[in-house]
Amino acid sequence: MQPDEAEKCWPALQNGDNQAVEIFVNEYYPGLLNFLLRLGCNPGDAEDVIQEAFIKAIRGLHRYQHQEHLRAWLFKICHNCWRDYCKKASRRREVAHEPGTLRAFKTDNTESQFMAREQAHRVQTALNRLPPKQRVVIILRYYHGFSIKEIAHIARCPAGTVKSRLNGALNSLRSFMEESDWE
Amino acid sequence: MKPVQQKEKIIDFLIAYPDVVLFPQEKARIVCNIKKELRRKHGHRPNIVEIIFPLLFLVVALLLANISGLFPVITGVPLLDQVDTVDFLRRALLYVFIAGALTTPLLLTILPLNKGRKW
Repeated sequence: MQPDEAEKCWPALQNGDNQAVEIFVNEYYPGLLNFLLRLGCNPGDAEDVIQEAFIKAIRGLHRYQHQEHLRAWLFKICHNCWRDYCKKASRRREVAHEPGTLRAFKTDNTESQFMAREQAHRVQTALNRLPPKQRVVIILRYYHGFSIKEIAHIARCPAGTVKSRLNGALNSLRSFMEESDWE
Repeated sequence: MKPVQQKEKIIDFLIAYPDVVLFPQEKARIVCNIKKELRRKHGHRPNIVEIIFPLLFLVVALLLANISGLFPVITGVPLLDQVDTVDFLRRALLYVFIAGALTTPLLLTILPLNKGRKW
């Protein structure tokens, strides 16, 4: 969502306007879904987590004043919901499914769809080997384009820690790529 | 290979993971669920503290009044006529204050429901 559109949407959202809710969800849902799928969440759980995050966000909008960071704030809520979900799931001894296997990818044709699936599987394997904290920062940085400061806000840690986690994640990925001999 | 090139290679590798496609029906379902959920929980639902607090408050106030003989709840003897009205009001206000002072910290600290909650 462009900042202008977010600003227009803001007062209507605070009043619980249905149209504004629709615009808000349509705009941010794809980003949040891709974020959770890359974190290793299965599509069904991702829907539940995102729904919970949107409800929390819409209810908490009146308390939030920095609308220029709306996207980062929404990702933070989603990340928190995901962590809570994982805690509950681990208590119930549930095992996460293979991520993204049932989804179609944004590609031009069927052939590239197959390639995309293969590539996604490779990258997801590499991402799954990273510790969860490193995985979060690398996804936020390279797939969603957040700044170090915004990632620090989302992951609730200092900017220095974010940089260190990014560095660690890149090193791990490099070793993984060397091990697997990938071009 | 230089570190910058290595970093670029890793980023290229990561970017090769494309975004998933979202179907319009899926979006519509999510929007519908969220609207439904927002409508369902939009009304204020009283939590357990809001129910327990007035009950506990009433019990403590009546107990205090009964102990001091202001309001004979247990005996049921109508002694109110014998009590001076001004004195009765003054003491009643005092009991309300004391009951509040006793029940509020109890509810805010002892009940596990309130742990970590901002008031």
